[in-house]
Parts: sequence; C-alpha cells; structure tokens
Amino acid sequence: MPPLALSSRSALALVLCATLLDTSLPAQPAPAKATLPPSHRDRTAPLTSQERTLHALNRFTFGPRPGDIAAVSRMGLDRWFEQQLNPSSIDDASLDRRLAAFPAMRLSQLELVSRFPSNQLIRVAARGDLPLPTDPTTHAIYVDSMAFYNEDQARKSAAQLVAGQTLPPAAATSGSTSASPGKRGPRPDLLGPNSLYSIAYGSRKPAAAALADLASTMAVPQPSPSPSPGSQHKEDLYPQAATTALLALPPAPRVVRILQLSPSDLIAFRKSLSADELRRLSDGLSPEQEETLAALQGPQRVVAAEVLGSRLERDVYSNRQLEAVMTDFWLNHFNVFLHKDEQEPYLLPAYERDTVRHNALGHFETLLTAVASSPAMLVYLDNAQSIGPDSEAANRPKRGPATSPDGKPKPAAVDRGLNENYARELLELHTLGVRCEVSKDHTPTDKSCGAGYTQADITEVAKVLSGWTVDRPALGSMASYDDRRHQPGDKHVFGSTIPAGGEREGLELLHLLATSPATARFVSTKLAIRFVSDDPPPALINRMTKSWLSSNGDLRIVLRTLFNSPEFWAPSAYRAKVKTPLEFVVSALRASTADVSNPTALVTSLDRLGMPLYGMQTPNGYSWLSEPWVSTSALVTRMNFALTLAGNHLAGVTLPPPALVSASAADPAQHERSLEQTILGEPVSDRTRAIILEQSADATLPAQAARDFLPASPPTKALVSVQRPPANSLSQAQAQSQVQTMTGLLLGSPEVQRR
Amino acid sequence: MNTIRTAIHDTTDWGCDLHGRDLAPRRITRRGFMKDGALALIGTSTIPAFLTRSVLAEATTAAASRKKLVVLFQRGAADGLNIVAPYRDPNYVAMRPSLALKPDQVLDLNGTFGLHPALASFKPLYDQGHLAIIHAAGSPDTTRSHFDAQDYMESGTPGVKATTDGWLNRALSTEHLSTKLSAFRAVALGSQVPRTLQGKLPAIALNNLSDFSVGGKFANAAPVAQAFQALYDDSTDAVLHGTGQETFEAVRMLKFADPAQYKPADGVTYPNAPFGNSLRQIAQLLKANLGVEAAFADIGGWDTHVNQGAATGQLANRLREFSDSIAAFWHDMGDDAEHITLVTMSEFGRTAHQNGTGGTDHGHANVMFVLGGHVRGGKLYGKWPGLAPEQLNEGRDLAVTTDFRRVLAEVSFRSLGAHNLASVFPDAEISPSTFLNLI
Repeated sequence: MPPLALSSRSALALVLCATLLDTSLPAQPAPAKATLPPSHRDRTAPLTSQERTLHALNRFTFGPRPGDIAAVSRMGLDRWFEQQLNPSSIDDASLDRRLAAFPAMRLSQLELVSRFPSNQLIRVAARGDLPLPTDPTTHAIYVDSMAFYNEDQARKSAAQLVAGQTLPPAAATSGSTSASPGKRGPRPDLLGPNSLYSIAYGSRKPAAAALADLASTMAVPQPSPSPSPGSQHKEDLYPQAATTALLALPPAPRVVRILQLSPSDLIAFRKSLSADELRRLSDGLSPEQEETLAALQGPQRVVAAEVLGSRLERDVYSNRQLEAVMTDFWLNHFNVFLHKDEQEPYLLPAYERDTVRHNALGHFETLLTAVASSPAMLVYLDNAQSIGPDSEAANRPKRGPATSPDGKPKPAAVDRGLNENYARELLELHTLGVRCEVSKDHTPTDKSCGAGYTQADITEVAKVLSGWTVDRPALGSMASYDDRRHQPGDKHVFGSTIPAGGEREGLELLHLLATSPATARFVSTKLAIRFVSDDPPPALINRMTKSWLSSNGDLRIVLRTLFNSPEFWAPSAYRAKVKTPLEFVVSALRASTADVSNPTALVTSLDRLGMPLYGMQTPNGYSWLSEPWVSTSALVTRMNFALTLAGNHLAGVTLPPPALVSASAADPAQHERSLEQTILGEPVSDRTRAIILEQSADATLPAQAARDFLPASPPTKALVSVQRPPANSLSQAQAQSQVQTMTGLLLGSPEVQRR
Repeated sequence: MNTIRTAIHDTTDWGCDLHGRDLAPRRITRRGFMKDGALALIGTSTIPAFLTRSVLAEATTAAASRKKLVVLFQRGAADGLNIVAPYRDPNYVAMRPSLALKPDQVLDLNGTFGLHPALASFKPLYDQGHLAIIHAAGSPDTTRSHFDAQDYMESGTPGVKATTDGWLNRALSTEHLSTKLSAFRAVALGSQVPRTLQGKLPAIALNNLSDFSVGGKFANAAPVAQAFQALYDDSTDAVLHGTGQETFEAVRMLKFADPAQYKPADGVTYPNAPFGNSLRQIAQLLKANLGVEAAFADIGGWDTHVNQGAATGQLANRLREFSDSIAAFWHDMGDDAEHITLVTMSEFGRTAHQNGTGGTDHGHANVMFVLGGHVRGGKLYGKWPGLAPEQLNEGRDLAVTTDFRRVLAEVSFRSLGAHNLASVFPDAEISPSTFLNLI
C-alpha cells in the first residue's frame, strides 16, 4: 500500500474517531462515583437478615439458585453452614445422575490409562513392546490408535524426505503447530460437532481458538477435523447398503461393528455419512458407548474432555457447594496444569477426587501430604525426576537398555541430580509464603516467619524429597518412594536437623511446614481474600490464624471462625468481591437454572474469559483479587457470554422457557423484577431497571434493531425517547425475545459481576 | 543495590557500548548499512524510506514523534546463558555438559558470544544494526521467586511490594498533553492488563481484535450494546464503571478503524501460535493508527527445569516462536518500523550449572533485546561478569551487572519521551548520563 494513501486514510480515521469520542460522553451529569462497589444500599447499615443469607450464599457457594435464599432462611443460616461443612451429610444424587455422562471419571488411574492409552503408550504398543489388552473394546481402541499412529509416522517420514530435515522430537508430540510437515492426520469424528468430545483438546492456546466471532464460536464448538456432513450419503466412499444395515443395529452391536472396521474403512465410512446418518450413528448410545467411539478419535481427548466437563458440572450442580468452592480453592492453591505433558490429564481425575476434594474440608497437613505424594503434583513440579546427587541411582545407575520402557532415552549420567522446582514452590506458594524468603535483599519482618527460608533451605528440602517419584509414568504413574534416588544423610532445614530417614524425612518436613505459624497465616490470609475481601482486616486474619494453630489446621474450624467473625458480615464486605470468570459463569448457570447437556461450550467460554480450567501454566494459580479480572477484554467477553447464554445460543446449554411468558408480556416490569430476584437475589438500582426495561422493549422493534451501532446521540437519551409498544401487541415470540434480552442484560450488568 | 550500579567500569573488550563511549562513530554509520552490504539481507530492492533520511531530531513526546514502544515479557525465567551463549568460555562448557551450545551450533556474534541457533531470524536484524543485546542484565533484587521477580520487573521497583502501578504506565503518565488521548494509547494483548501497564492511565486488554464487540452478530446487537453501555455508565461501582467506559470507547474505535483489514505485508508470515498472534495484532493496531503508544505482549514456557535441550528441544522451540514472531512483526511494519522500539525481558535467568534433570533452576542475570529503527544495534552492551566460580552470584548464577531499569529507562526516555525518570523508576538514580546509549 502506498504510504501516502495509508496516512491520509488514517488521518481521516483519527479525526472521525475524535468526533465520535466527544459525542460518547453522557449528556446528563455523571453520577457521583463511589470508591466502594455496592450500588444502592446504604454502605454503613448492618446487613439485613435477607442480605446476610444472600451474602453467605454468594461466598460459600457458586451463587444462589432461585429459591435458595428462602430455603436457607427457613433452615437457619447457622444450621445451613454446619451442613455445608459436612458435605457427606448432603444428598447429591442429582449430581451423580449428571456425572453418569462421564464414565471414565469413575475409573481408577490404572484403569483409565489402560482403557484410554496415551499417545506415548500407543507408540510403545506400535513398536510391539506392549502386550495388547484382551478386552475386545479396549483392544479395538489400541489397534485403531496404532494404525493411525503408523499412518502418521509414514506421513511424517514422507514429509521429512521432502523437506530434507529431521523434526525435533517435540514437534512429533505437540500436535498443535499446524504448520509443521507431517502433522497428525485427521481421525474420524464419529459423534459430530455437538458431542462432549468435540472439545479441542491439546490446544495450549485459548486465544488461538478465538479467531472467529464470539457469538458463533460460543454457540458452535470447535470445528471437528472431519468434514461437515452433507445432506446425501456419499456412495463412492462407503456403500449405502452397508451403512443402512449398520445404522439399523441396536447400540451395542452397532458399536462392535464400528470397532471392527479397519482405520481406513472407518475414515471412509465417516466421510460417507450424511448429516442424518451421522446423527443416527450415535442414537441411543450409552455414555460408555459414546466414550468408545470418541476414543477412536484419540483416546487422550476423551480423558481431557471428561476432566474439564465433569469439574464444571460439579461446580454448577453439586448440593455440596462449600465442598465444591473449597475444592476450587485448593485446586488453585495447589495448581497443576493440564498441558504439562501427555501424562498430566490422566492424573487429574484422581488428583481432583482423592487428593483434593476428599481433603478439602479436612486437615491441612493431610491435604498437603496428599498433594506432595500425588502423581499430578510430582509430575507437574518435576519432583518425580529429582535424584539425590549422592544417591545410589545417581552414582550406580542400573544396567540396562539406553531407553526406558516408554521409549524415551534414559537420562545421561550428568542429568541425574536434584531438581528444586517443587521444593521452592512448596515453601513459597503452598505453605510459608514468599514473604518468609530470606535473601540478600530481604529479611522477613513478619514474626510468624521465624528465621524464614533461604536458597540453601530450598536445596535441602529438595534433598529431603528426593526419591518421592512416580512409578512407570507411561503406565499409570503411581506415586512411589524410591530409596535408590534418595539423597543419603541428615538434612538441615530452617535451622534444625532432619535425621537421615528415607521417606520419613519428607513426612517430617511436611509436618514442620503444615504446623508452622507462617503457613497458618499465609493460607488464612488467602482464604480471607477468597471469602471476605481483597484486603481483609488484620483482626480477622489473626483470629483465623489462631484457630488454625490451636486446631492443627482443621479447615472446618478455620472456616467456622471466618463465618462467625464480624468482619465477614461487615457492610463493607457485602458484594465487595468481583467474580472470577469461573464464578461468573457458574453463578449465571445456577441463577438461570440452565440445563447443561454438554459442557463443551462452557469450557471454551472459560478459555475465552481468560480462566481455562486446569489451564494456569504457572504454579501460583489464578488471582483472587479483582484487578486481573476487570479489563476491557474481560467485560466484552462477559457481556457477550451473558447474551449468548440468555439467548439460548450456547450449544449444549438450555435455559428453561420463561414461565408465563404471556403474563410477563402483559407486564414486563413485573417480570423484570422477578428476574432481578432470580439472577441477583435482590433488586437492582432504579436506574438499571429503567435501562433494562427500555431496552427490552426496544429489542422487539425491528427499526431499532436495524439502527447503526454507533449512536448519533448519547445512548441514554435515545433510550428515553423510545416509545414502548403497547404490551398487548407483543406476540409470544416477541415476549420470549424480550425476556431473553432482559435476562442477558441482567446477567451482564455491573451488579452481577460481583458476589 | 548501589554497589551493583557503581561497580560498572567498562573494562571489557567484547565490544560493549557503555556510556556512549563510541557514540560518535556509531551515529555516522548508524546501521553500517550500505557499508556492510547488509542491504541484501532485507531481500527487497526498495530501501526503506527511513534509512534514506537523516536521523530525526529527538521529539519530546511519543505522541508528537509518533514513536511507539513494544514491551515483551518472557514469563518463567528464560535461560539467557543459552540464548546468547558465551560458547567458548570453558566454565560454560564445563557447567553445562549436556546443555552447552557447541561452536558449530551457535550463530556467532563476535567470536565470544553466539546466538542460539533457533534465533536465526534475529541474526539479520543484528547484522543490520537494528538489534541490540544487553547481557547480564537483571534485577538488583536477588529473589528467585518467579512471581516476586515478575512483580518487581513489572512494577519497576525491585524489592518494593507496595507499588501499585507498573513502570510503563508511569512512563506514559509523564506526558502532559492537552489533546484528548486515544483509548488505545496503552494496549496489552491478552485477557488481562499486565502489572507493567496497570496504574493511573487507562490501559486496554484485548484478546482478539476480530471479536472485540458487544453483542457480536445478534439481531439486536446494536441496541443491546447501547443498553450495556448505559448500565456501566450509570454504575456507581467505580472499578466497573471506569473499565466499562474504556471498553465501550475502545469497541467504538475498533469498529471504526477496522484493524482486521490490515493483512501482513507480502512475504510476512507470523508463527501460528499465541505469541505470533499477539504480535500480528499489535501490528494491525499500529497500522490502523489508533494512537497506540505502548503495546505489551507476553510469552510463557521458559521455566525449563527438565530436559530443556541444547540446539534443539524445548528451549529451542520457544526461542523459534519468540524470534520468528518478532522478526515477522519487524518486517510487517516496513517503513513504520523506524518509529518503533521493542524491548524484551524475563524475570531472571537460570543457574549457570545445569541441574540434575537436564534443565536449569532459578538463577539471576539474564539477557535483554532491544530492537528498533533508532537502535544502535549489532552489538552487545553491558559488562560481562564472567562465569568462574568466584564470579557467580551466590556461587550458582550469572551475576547482574546492568540493572534492567537502565535499559527500560533509556527505552522509555527515547521512545516515549518519558523524561521524568525519577517517577518512572523511583530510587533507581537513573539519568541520561547513566544510559547505555543503545538508542
């Protein structure tokens, strides 16, 4: 483009932009801006009983469902809280029925790995180094996956011949660099784009999925690798007669028949299907049978899709809400990353279920020890690979082949030593807190830190924990202690000595950390930030720390202290927290009593809102503060999510039809008020209500809808000038659209961004 | 802290440019462009217009000079010793038995240091004199916590936790202009405003240019968007009200300027990865003349504790995406690159010794890159502290000899006109006389 043309065009743009900006200022005097968030309530008045209930529900659950406030009031707030502290006393059968859609999540780690082999395991099997399973279904999954792997390999070597280069090993496994030659070929997507398993697993890059229009990507899950089916069967690819016969089979034999197809037949068969045939293919399948078909697309995807989907549905539907909230808190505190490596997805079901949720309301030391010995954490922060420099394993490596059973070259002798990654984050993020770190420039001032910790302590901690590793990483990664890798001798940490004692040293260290006043204070502060405010009062933290220390880190007692503290109920804490994206999405689903039949679009939405589940790469987890979550990008996405959800455009998510639409059409204001109660739990400000009512009336006017996006006059003025149509002139469809608009605006309103 | 700053005496012989000692000769052959025959490397018969003009007088503000600053953060502590490697140093070779880059692998810079081979697309930029390298740069604070170190580097106040704003926000705030400032003056690619850009001045976070609108393609998008705007305008929630205003202003400007129409220049391909997408979109915003003065993007994946690889492998893959994205951006901007300064940083470096798992642990000093039309590139800046055991920081890491704030201060001073360095980097005692004179 010639420079001159560019600059003149741009200059014009700037002039026009400047003009537009001027008109964007509101015509009426700007309302007084407060520094505190809540809108219309008197910020100094004590909470009313209704507000107390709503406040508790906002903080100890993922947000109230319609009717929750009344139910908790009836039960009594204290009794409700005690019940939430004892999750096993709460019936959760309705959640269990929903989670039946995720059969793999009920498997043990070993079963999971063998049923849904990782790419790594398939490579081993393809080399003939692994006996194939005898169960016919699993056998078929292996055979198909191996055949696809072999095809990929053939394609790759062909590509390498062409390019005359050798691919770095990472490119062979990443599967995400679409530009690389020899990339993985398409696998048959037998369940269509609306399946749970259509999620784009393996994308480390939420932003990359965000190239298309938000509404359309949120409404339609990631494009599947297979071509979208046409209206006609493609006879040249696969005979119509055989297809019809197959589709006529009952579910079980139908799946068996599909499993019997060779990989190339399977691909041809899938490509031949019409849209209607594709739909019939998965008709009546049980969740397990759907899983089996999905596994033919790549077994690893099944695991990741179910890990993400089941976590989200639990947050939405569990009646054990405090347990869900605390599980989320600990999964963030002890953050792990789904995309760490090929193994990590397989380790997450047990990590969530047995390590974290099981201990979420128990004792901190039990939780800390469970995390320290969990394969998910051992792999994520590399302790599984750490070897004491003077250990037997470092100095007298076992004789044997140069490669380990999973095909990776064994580390050279020089690569046998300590890795201090976990040791550092254990002290800095999981227990004592970085403010206790001693360095040349920093001496802790907080007396709970005692003498603090130094780099030398970190190295000693790494020695203490050497040998805490996982067994057979490719085959299930069971946690184990390997004394051959353990650094011998006494260890000196924090000024005291841990005598040589193998695995016991680690337990002693974890006990030391779990019972340290610094840990009590650090974690109490984080809990107070999660449950009370971004800047919790020191008196509250002191009280929680005291409870922690006197109860040996009994999390129920610490939470009870928080619940009974005046600071929790202070007017300044009311609606003081900005919802994280997860809290925003889950609270919106709960408030709108949405029915989630497929969480894929929700999982994708969280990516786009900047908070993918298990998607924080670094061990600090997501922030509990407001600032990171309030940005231009975040607000646009939140508003669009609200509209998409309210308009029923989110695939796999259905809002119940608004009750008595015709009645509401007769009186939109009345319906709007009931929506306020449903979505926010209390009335919005008069001004908010006026804007929503005017707009939802506008939304049914075609002329209004056609108006340009850029207002010629200030928007608030335009709203006021619009004449509302007579209510009785609205059709059913118009009334429906009106309710959707009101719901969308309420869900995306400033009030709903806080809890 | 002071000891680090005052201990710098340029006694090295590796071609550093300290305190502008060789400023005069460099300015004459600013890029050594015609002389070195480096023109051929551009691969075009057109000489960029800015190379044929004389050096512009230094403008006092970015807005007046149209200068723009692009700030890139490598989160996770990149291994500077293998990015610009002292590949002939026997200590380096000894401490990294399986990680050290070999002489036949590096892209040699001056016989002493070599670029990692995955930085091949940086080499022409270096040879043309656009790319400067500052080695052994870092924070005077010795923390090895990623999160503290990133915080300090982004706030620009090492060791001070209480700072609430970022250095780049303060650098932009030093301008006092009477005209209305663009909503896009400070923009970050991503879903959050990074610490670097937080502060008094509004900053925009953008994930994706193409879907940055409210209501998208819904039938009644326009009125609904207006209603949302009214809701946020009227909100008494200070935080949401303020961000709401910025949001709607940005949406309007973007819709009008339509940056998506700017396709990358002929022959320019950005890596199809998050960082490549970020830089492509920064280029689009710049070309759309939205008034961007400072842009920020980051790239993760540098925390290579395990199997980081040498000439190939994990680190190599990150470096390829990193350098190819930056080079694509540079070429995409064409003539406009004259007005751009780009600076890269990472919170700290990694241990000089490799660890027990084929990787490196948290260390201290690192390497920074500065790229730009006015950069006196093609050379290494800073003082090399050496890798002998007694020269290492705490016996394990490359020591810091250049405070990262000296680089950032010079870059903001020259590109943004941030002359009020005392407020951008309080207590750093930085003035133009302490600049490395790399611009």
